[in-house]
Amino acid sequence: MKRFFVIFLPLVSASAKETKLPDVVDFNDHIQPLISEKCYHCHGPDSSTRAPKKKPLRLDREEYAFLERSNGKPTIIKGDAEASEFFKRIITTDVDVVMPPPESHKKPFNAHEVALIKKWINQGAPYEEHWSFLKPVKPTPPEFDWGNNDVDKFVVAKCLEKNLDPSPPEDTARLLRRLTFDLTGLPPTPEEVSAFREMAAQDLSTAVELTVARLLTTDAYAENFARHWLDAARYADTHGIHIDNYRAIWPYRDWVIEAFRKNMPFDQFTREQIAGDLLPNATLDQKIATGFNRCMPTTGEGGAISKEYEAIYAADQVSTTSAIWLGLSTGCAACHDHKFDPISQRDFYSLTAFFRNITMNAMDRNQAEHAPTIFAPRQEDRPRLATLETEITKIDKALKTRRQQAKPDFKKWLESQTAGDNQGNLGAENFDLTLPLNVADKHLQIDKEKINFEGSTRKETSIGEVPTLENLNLQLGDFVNLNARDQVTFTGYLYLEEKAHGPLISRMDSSANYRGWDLWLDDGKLGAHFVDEWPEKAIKAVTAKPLEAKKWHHFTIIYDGKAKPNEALTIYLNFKNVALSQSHSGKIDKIETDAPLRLGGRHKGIAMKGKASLHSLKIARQKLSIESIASFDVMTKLQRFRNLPADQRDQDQENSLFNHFLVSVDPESTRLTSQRSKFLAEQKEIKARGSATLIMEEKPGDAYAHILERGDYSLERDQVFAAIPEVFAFEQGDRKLSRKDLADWLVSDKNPLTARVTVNRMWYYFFGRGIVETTEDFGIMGAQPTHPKLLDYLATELVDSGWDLHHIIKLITTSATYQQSAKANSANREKDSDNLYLWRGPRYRLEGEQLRDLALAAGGLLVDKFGGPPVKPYQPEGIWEAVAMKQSNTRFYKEDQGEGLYRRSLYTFWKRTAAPPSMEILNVPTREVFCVRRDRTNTPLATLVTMNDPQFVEASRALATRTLKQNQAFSQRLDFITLILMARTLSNEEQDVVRKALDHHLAYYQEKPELADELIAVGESKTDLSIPKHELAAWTLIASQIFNLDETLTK
Amino acid sequence: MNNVADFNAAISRRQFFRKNGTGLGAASLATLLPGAVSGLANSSVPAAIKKVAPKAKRVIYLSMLGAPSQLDLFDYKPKLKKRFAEDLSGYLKEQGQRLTGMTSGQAKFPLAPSVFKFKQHGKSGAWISELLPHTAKMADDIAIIKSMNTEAINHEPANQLCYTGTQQNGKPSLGSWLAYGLGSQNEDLPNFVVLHAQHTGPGNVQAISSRLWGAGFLPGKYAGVAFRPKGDPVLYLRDSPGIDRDLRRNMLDSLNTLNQKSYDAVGDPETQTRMQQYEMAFRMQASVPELSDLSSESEQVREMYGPQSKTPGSFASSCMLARRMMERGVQFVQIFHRGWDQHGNLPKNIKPQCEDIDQPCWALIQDLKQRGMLEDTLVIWGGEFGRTVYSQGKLSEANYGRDHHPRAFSMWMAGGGVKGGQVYGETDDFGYNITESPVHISDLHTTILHQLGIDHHKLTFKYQGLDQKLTGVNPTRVIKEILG
Repeated sequence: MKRFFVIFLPLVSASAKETKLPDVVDFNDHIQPLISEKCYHCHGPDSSTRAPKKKPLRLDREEYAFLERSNGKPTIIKGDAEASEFFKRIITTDVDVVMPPPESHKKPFNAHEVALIKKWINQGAPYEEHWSFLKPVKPTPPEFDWGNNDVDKFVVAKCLEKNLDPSPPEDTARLLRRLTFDLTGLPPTPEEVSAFREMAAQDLSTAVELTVARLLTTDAYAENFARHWLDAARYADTHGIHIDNYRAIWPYRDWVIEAFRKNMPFDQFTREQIAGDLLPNATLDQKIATGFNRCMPTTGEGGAISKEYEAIYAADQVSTTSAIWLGLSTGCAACHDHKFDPISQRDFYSLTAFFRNITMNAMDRNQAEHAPTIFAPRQEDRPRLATLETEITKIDKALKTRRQQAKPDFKKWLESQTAGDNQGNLGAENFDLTLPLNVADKHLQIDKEKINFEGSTRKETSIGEVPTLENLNLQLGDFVNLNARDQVTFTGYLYLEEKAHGPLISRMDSSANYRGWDLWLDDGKLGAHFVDEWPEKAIKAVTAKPLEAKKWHHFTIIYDGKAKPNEALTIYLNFKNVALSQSHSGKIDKIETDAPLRLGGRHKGIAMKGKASLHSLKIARQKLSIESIASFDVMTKLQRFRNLPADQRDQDQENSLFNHFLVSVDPESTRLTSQRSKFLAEQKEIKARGSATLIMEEKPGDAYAHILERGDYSLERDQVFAAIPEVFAFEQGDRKLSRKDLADWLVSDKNPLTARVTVNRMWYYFFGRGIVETTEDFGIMGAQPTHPKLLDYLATELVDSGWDLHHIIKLITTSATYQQSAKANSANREKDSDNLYLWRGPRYRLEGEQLRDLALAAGGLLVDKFGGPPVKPYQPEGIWEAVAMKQSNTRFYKEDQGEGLYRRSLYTFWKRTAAPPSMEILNVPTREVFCVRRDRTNTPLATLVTMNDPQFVEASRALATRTLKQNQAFSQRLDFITLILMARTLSNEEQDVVRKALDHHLAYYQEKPELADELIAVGESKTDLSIPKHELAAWTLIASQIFNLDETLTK
Repeated sequence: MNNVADFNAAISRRQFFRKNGTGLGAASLATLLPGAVSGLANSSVPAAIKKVAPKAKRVIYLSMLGAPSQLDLFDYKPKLKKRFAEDLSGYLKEQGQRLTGMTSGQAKFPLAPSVFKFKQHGKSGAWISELLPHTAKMADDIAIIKSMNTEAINHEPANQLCYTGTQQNGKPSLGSWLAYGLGSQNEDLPNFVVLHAQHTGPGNVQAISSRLWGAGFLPGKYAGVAFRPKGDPVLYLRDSPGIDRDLRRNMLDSLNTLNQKSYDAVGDPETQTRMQQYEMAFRMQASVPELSDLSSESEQVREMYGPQSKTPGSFASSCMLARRMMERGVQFVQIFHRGWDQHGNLPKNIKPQCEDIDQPCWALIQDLKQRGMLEDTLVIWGGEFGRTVYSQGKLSEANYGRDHHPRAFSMWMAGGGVKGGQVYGETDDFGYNITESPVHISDLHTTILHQLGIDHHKLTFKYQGLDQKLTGVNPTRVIKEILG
C-alpha cells in the first residue's frame, strides 16, 4: 500500500546551520521533549494506541527502541542517522509516510529539530531515564563566592550562565515583611520591624536566622502552612456533590495545623495521613490524620450508583496522592495507558486498589458523620476528658458498693414512712380526673365509677388487669372538655406490645373538622392532636422516635394553650424530656366539642390498631412540674407497696423503691450521684466542643480492584491487587500490599520523587514558582527544572535531615537568593522577564487569605484563637441559596456574630459548591480537586473585594480608629497606618499625595455628614463615637487607600 | 533603577491620567498600555486558536436544569396512547441501559404516554406540545434536535458533562473555554456571564455548583461572572456605603499616583496590571448597573417577554438582560433555570416551568431578530438528559412521573448559522433509543465552537502535561446538517 520509493529532500542541512546545536545532544534535555510531543501518542507508553497494530513500535524506552523491525534492522541505527528509518520518516515530504502523520494534528519537525535528531543518532542515540525517575544524588555545590549558603551557589551559577546579575539585599523592613508573610501569613508588627532593623544593622544574617527561628515557633506559622496543605488535600466543610450538606471533618484540619506546630517530620506526616489507621496501636490522632483521604467530594444523590462513585472516589484519591507526593498525573491512565509517562492502566488500577478496601459506603446519605468516623475532642480538652472518665468510673464503683450495703438503711426508711404520707407537693386533689383503668369483675374503673368491660386485658403487677386498647373505642362519658387556652397535664403509664397506631384516648368530633383533642400513637410514637379545624388550625406533634415495645413507660404530656403553637406540646418519657417532631402548628381557638371522652378510639369509628394499654391516667388543668410528677409517682408506688401484704409484694416494686431511696434519700448515694451528674455534664460540654471526624478504616481481606475498560465502572476486566507502578521496580515478593505499604514506599529511598516534589512545593511557597514550574507534574510533559541540581540538593537535604521541613525553610529563607531585592534591573529583565533564574527577590500579590488576615490584623480585629469548628464571616446574601437544593442544610448562610467574623481565614466555613466569594475572587481554589499551584490572575473583581467587601471596609475603619486614638499629627497618623500595612513610612512626596486626598475627604465628609455616618457604620464592631465622624470617615478611606496600594497587596 | 524609565517610555503618563480622570467612557486601558496583560477579559487570544469564518459571534445558552421531559415537549409518540400502562420490564432488560437508583427497584415499569396534546407547526411540520404555544410559533426559527444523548444518568455528572465537557471535577466550563478562545469585545464587561433565573415549578430542585461556570485549570479570569438579580449585580460592585463616585474617583487618582511611584521604583509590570484593574473596576461600576437596569426597555419589548418581564430575576427578565449583554459585547451568557426534575406529578409540575420559559424564549428570538442580531447570535435550549417513557411511581390516566433517561432527549438551537424550521434526528416508538442521526453532548460542543469559528482540536490548554480540550479525546463531529 505504501509507495515504494521515497523521495528525500536535503532541506535540513542548509537551515540547521543557522541555529547552534549543542556539542553533545542530551536525551532528556533535547530529544525527549521532541519525541514525546510528536511520537509518543502512537509510539509511547499507551499500548492501546501504539502503531502499527501488527508490529507496534515503541520509542519511549531504550529496551524497545532498538528492537529489530520487519526489515531486520532497528528503526534507529546507532551512529547512522541517514540509514535510520526513524530519521527518514521525519524528513520525508511524502504525506503517506511522513511522521508525525498530518491527521495527528501535530506539527512536523522543524529544521533545527531535525538537525538535533540527526546529531543525536550520529552520536550513538544514547537514551536516559527521565530525570525525575532517577534517584536524586546530592550534588556538590559549585564554587562561588556569593551568598550565604549552598542554595546561593547553585543559583548564582545559573545566573552567570545566563549572564544575569544577582540583586543586592532587599530593604530590611521589606524583607522582614516578606519573611513574616511567607512564614505566618500575617504582617510584622511595627515593633517587630524596628527590632529587626536594629538587629540587621549589626548583622543581617543573624537577624534573619533568629527571626526565622522565632517565627517557626508561632501558631501563625502552623496555620499558614496548614493552609497550603489544605489546598492540596482539597479540604472543605461540605460533601461537595448534590445536596452538599455539612461534613464533620474539621478535626482533620486541626490535626494538620497541629502537625506543623510540632514540625512533624514529613515522612511521618505522610504515613499518618495515608495509613494512620494501619499503624501499630494507632492513636486517636493517627486515625484523625487519615481524614486526608476522606476530603474528596462525595455524593448522596438519590439515583447515584454506588459502584460508579466508588470508582470515581478511588480515581480521585489516586490522582491526589500522585500529584502531591509523586508529581505525576495519573488520571488519564484511568481510561488507557498514560500517553507520555510510564504509568499503565494496570498500574493505575493497582493504585486505586490501595484505597478501595475501606468500610466507607459510597453514598454519604447527606450525613455529616459519613461513616467511618471517630470522635475527636479538642486537643486542649483531652487531659480533662481522660480525668473525667476515670472519676466517673470511680464513682460508679462507689455507688455499686453503697448499693450493696444500703439495704438495711433502706428497710429502716421504708418502715419509717407512714402510708399516705406525702413528701411531694402533689396529691390526688391536684388532678381533675383520675382514670385508674384497672379491670376487675368485668368492670373497668374510671374515675370513681365503674363501667362494664368484657374486652381483652393485660396483667400489670401494681394494679392488676388493664384493658388492651386494640379496636376498643369505648365511650367513657362527658369528661375533660378542654379549652384551647387551657394548660393541661396528662400523665400515666403506657404499654406497647408493638408499633401500635391510633387514638389512646380522645375527645374529638371527626365529623366537625376533627375538633377536639386526643393522645395519639403514630406507628409507636407517642403524641397528641389539638384541633380547631384540621389540618390548618391544628397542632400535632409526636415523639421523634418510637417507644420501646413490650415495656411499661411512664409518660407526661403537657399542652400549654398559652404558648406559641409550635411550642405548645411537651412530652416526657420516664420523666425525661424527649425530642418531638411537629407536623402541624396552626393557631387554634376553639376545641370544645360535644363528642364524649373515648378510650382507644375516636368519634366515628376510628379505633386503635395494634396492642397498647394505658393505666393510672391522670389529667390536670394546669402545668405540673416533672419533678412533682416524679415524686408523686414514687409516693403512689410506696403507698401501694406498703398496702400490700408482704407475700404479695413484688420484687420489681421493691427495686423501684430501693432505687428511689438511693437516688433521693440516702445521703451518701445522693452525694455521689450529684457528683456524677456534674461530671457527666462537664463531659457532655467537652464533647460538644469536639466533633466526630471522617476517617479511613480498612476492611478485612486483601486490597484489590478491577481494571475498568475505558474507565467505565460497569466494564470490569482483570482483577488486580494493590501494587506500586511497575516503573519503580518495587520488590513486593509474594505478599499483598496495603495502604501502609504505599505510605512507607512514598517516603522510602526507593522512591525518587517524593522528596523532590516536596521541596519543590516548599520553594514555590516562597518564590511563587517552583524550580519545576509544574509543581503537580514531574513527568515527561511537565516543566523542566530551572535548577535541577539545586532541586536535588534540597531533596537530599530534606531526607538527610530526617524529613525536617524547618530545615528546608531555613535553607531557603537564610539564602541570599531569597533575601534579594525585588526591584527589577532592566538589563536582567530583558533577558529573563519572568525571573526564572532568580536574579531578584520574589514579589507577588498576597494570597486571598493573607489579604483578609492582613486587614483584620491591621484593624486590631483578628481573633487569635486556634482551631475548632468552621466560622462564618461576612458574605453577600444569596450565594448559597443560588445553588443549593431545598433539602440542603447549607442552603442558608447565617453569618456569625462576634469573634466568628474575625478569625483567620483558614477557619472560614468552606461550602464546596459555593466557596466564600471574596476568597474565590482572590484565587483561592474551590477545593473540588487537589491544588498544589494556585492561579494568580488579577481581575477588576479582585479590586472590588478589597475596596468594598464590608470585611475590608470595617477593618479600615478599625485601623483608622486605632490611628486617631493613638496619634495626633498628620504624619504620625499616616506613619502608624503605613508601618502596619507596608512596614515603612512614606516619603515626603508620597505623604503630600495622601495629605491632598485626606483634605479632600475631610471637606467632603464635613459637607455630607450622612455619608460619613454610613461609612463608619459598616461592620458589626462598635464605632468609636468619641472621634468626630467626618474625621473617622476620611481616615477610614485613607486606610482603605493605603491597603489597596500595590505595595501593600504585594509581598 | 533609571532603566525602568525605558520601559515606561511606551506609556504617556499624562495621557493616561487625563483619560482616567474622566473615568467613564475612557478608552480601554489596554490600548494605552501596550504589552500589558489585560485582566478580566482576555484580549490576547492564544495564537494557535485560529478563527475560521465564524458564523456566530456570541452565544446564549438556556440551560434547563433538572432535565425537561422530551416526551411531553418535543418528541411526540402518538402510538403510545394505546399501550397505556403496558409493563416495560422485559423491554428494558433487553436494552441493557442502566437505571438510576430511584427506579431500579421498581417491580413494574408502566408505560406513560404524554397527557399533553401535540400539533404540527411551521414549514417543517415540527410536532410541539401544547405546553409550549410560543415556542410553537417560532418553529421556523429553530432547529429541534430529537437525538441528543449523553452517558450520565444523574444530574451532577450529567451537568458536568453538559457544561464542562467531562464528568470529572476540576475541568473548565464551556463558557470559560469560550472566554479563553474568543478574546473580549468589551473591556468593561466580563466575557462570560451567568444568570440564575427563578423558577416556579413546585417539584424537586436540583443543586448546581459554581463548577458549572468555573475556570477549572484555566486562569481564573475566564470564570463566568454570576450576575445577581438582587443586591449588587456583580459581587462587591457597589461602592461601600459612605463612598460615592466622587470620593471613589478621588481615592483612585491618589492611589494611581502612589502606585505609579512604586512602579517607577520597583519596575514590576504587575503593578501596571493592577492599576489597570482598578480603573477597569471603576468603569464596570458604571457599565454594569447601566447594563442591568431594565427600566429603559420599552413597554412594547416588555410586553413581548410577557408578564414576568417586570419581575427581577425571572427567566423573562434574564432573557432581556442576556440580549442587552449581547448588544454590549458580552460573548457568552448562560441562563440557568432549575426545577425540571419531575420524578412525580409531572403533568402538574411541568406546567409552571413551561410558563416560565415559553414566551421569553420566543421573545428573545424575536427580539434578536428585530435587532438584526439573530444571524450571528447562537441560542441553545435544553437540559442535561431526557426522561423515561415509563412512569416512576404510580401511573394513572392523569398523573405520572419520569426518571432520568440518557439515551435520547431533545434540544433546540437557533440563530448563529443554524438553519431554522427543521427537526433533526429520530427516536424509536418509545422515544427510548435514537434511530437516526445521534448527537452527543460533545458534538454539540464541537458545533458551538465551529459556529464561533474555532476548530475544537485547536482549542487546547496545557495542563498536567497534556493538551486539554473541551471536547475530550473521543472523536466528535460538527452537526453540519442543521447548519444553514
